[in-house]
Amino acid sequence: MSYLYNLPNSTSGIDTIATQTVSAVPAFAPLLFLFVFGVVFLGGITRNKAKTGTADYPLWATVASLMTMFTALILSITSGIIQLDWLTYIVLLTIGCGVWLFLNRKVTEL
Amino acid sequence: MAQIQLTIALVMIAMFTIAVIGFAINFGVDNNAQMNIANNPQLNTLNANATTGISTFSQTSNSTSNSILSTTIAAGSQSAPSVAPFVISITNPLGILTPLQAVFNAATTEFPVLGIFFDAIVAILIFMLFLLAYKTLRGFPE
Repeated sequence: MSYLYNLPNSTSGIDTIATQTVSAVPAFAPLLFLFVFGVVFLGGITRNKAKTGTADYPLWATVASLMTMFTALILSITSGIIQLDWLTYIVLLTIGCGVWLFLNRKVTEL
Repeated sequence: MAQIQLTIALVMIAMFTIAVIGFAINFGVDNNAQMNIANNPQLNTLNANATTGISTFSQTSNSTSNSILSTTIAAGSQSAPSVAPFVISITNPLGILTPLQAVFNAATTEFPVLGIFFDAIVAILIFMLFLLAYKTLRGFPE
């Protein structure tokens, strides 16, 4: 049976599986971060809108970007999964969402 | 935005920036991470700018509160003779807002095509600003 991708060596540990997966598909890590961000952001605003009728977009963007940053930090322990550029972009995305959040607040809330 | 709201927002932005970058750097140090944003000079500059902004704010807010305490209102007057004690305490708001500049720089460096979107947004804002100014003077266009 011919495979589209080379199968990772599963006898060397899960980190080897992850690094070999990323080497086969370099877009794996950025799309994983997009998945984490999208699940938290879309899930949050959907439930917020269902409960209260309105959604706090900057708040959920900040929460989702924080979750994405935590995921990226965990994956940054081993080399070969994410690059320093993507880690920098995710940190900057988190800070940018924080700027959006704090400039969006009203006087009576923080 | 009101003065109190804008001041608090700028201070919170600076503290959030310091917290996020500090957490990420120390996470990498504690766990011996192979990828650490401490190796990125742009984020280090951003952290230094936010820290400088907070330090300046703590000093200026102290002098501002002292001047508010020493404000006097003359008998018969309904207001203080000067609004100087109540001026904004953030002396360098653009320095604290450098996260926005860093985000734009990173995005346009990696994805140059995004620059046209930022240019378009800024152009629309300037267009709206002039239209609002003209509408304030003449009452139209709607």
